[in-house]
Amino acid sequence: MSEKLEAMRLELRRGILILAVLNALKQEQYGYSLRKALQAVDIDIEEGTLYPLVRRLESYGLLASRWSSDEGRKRRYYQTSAQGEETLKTLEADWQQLNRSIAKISKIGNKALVGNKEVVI
Amino acid sequence: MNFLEKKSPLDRYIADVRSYLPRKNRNDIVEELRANLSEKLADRAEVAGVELNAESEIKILSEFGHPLRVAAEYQGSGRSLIGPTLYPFYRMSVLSSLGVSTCIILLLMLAEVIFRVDLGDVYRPWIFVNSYIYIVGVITAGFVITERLMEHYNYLDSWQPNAMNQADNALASAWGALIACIASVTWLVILNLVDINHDLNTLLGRNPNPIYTLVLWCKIQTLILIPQYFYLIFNQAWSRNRLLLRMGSELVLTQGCVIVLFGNAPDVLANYPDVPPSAALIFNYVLWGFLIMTVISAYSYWHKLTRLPAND
Repeated sequence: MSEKLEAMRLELRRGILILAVLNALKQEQYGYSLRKALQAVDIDIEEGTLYPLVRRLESYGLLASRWSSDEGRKRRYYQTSAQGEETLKTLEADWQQLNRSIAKISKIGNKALVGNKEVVI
Repeated sequence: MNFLEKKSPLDRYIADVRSYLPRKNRNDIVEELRANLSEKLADRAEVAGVELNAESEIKILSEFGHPLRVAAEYQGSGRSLIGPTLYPFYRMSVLSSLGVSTCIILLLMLAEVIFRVDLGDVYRPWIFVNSYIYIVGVITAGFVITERLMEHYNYLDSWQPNAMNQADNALASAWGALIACIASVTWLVILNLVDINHDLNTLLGRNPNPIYTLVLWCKIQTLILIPQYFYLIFNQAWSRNRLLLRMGSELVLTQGCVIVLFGNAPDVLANYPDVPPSAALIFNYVLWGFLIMTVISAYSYWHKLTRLPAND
């Protein structure tokens, strides 16, 4: 079960990862710093997944990028584009709506359980 | 770096990922990947307070994952040969065809033992492998083409509930059509194992061996039937034209049986002197069986055709 649970958690996180990345990249960042920024808020994502995702979002026009060697190292910086901001607003609204729906259905489910006396308190 | 210099683990890792990437954007991806991995290694060295040795580098790189997996992530959701929509059908088609062809070849081997008939290479062990490769190849090609056509014409998106077949208009189910398709492909592969000349003389029964004529007519009929069965998987509604085509396909084999039964070809025994007369008799019964079955089948399609509503 733990493997299946892990797969389900991964699937759930994958869906909201775009939200996290677009939000984090409102401030310009390069790949590794983005990963650390996400880790700092407990979003631990494998680099092998994160970097390709960032590139994909860029190819969709949701991120803008530039190469820079300002700090002595060559880095590719990414930032959420205007189109990305628009998309983010839509996705966040969807996310909020989903949260509300899940809360509602969870409430209904819990009531039904109490009604059936299946809850042991 | 020249070839005498030893590559660092990072260089080797990057080279590995690079080799799995498609040419397009390869250099750009690799450059960015190198920058990110260098950052990571530098960060770890800073935290550890010492310069990293090769062993530590390898350990850190291993956290990144297998180069093949990393390259796959960069390629995103690339297309596969057979997508998940058709894959269950594809798998079932391949497995059942292999099962059916195994049974037929085993029967041929059994016939050799019982009747002591030399059927040439038909039952040699390598024929198993040969026919399996044919079957898998033909089925795979069929499914790949179907999937591309479905995508091209947006087949699944254009589906409407009101386009479903009326119960009394559907003479077959999708699964039935699929099984018929598999059986036809397998039958064609088996027929191909018989080494015949595809010429007019064989077609018209002037070949000394009547079995060759029958095999050629069977091949023609099967080649006409396969596309019909294939189309039937996705659309089971019968139209006047489809029924006419099916009726014609049945009559093709009827024609072949008539040529072999009533033509001037020598008897089977003339070609296979070792075959007992009973086996030759069985061949004649089989021919009559084919003839009667195809005529009945053609008539049944004609009957259905006459009962189709006028607008079909």
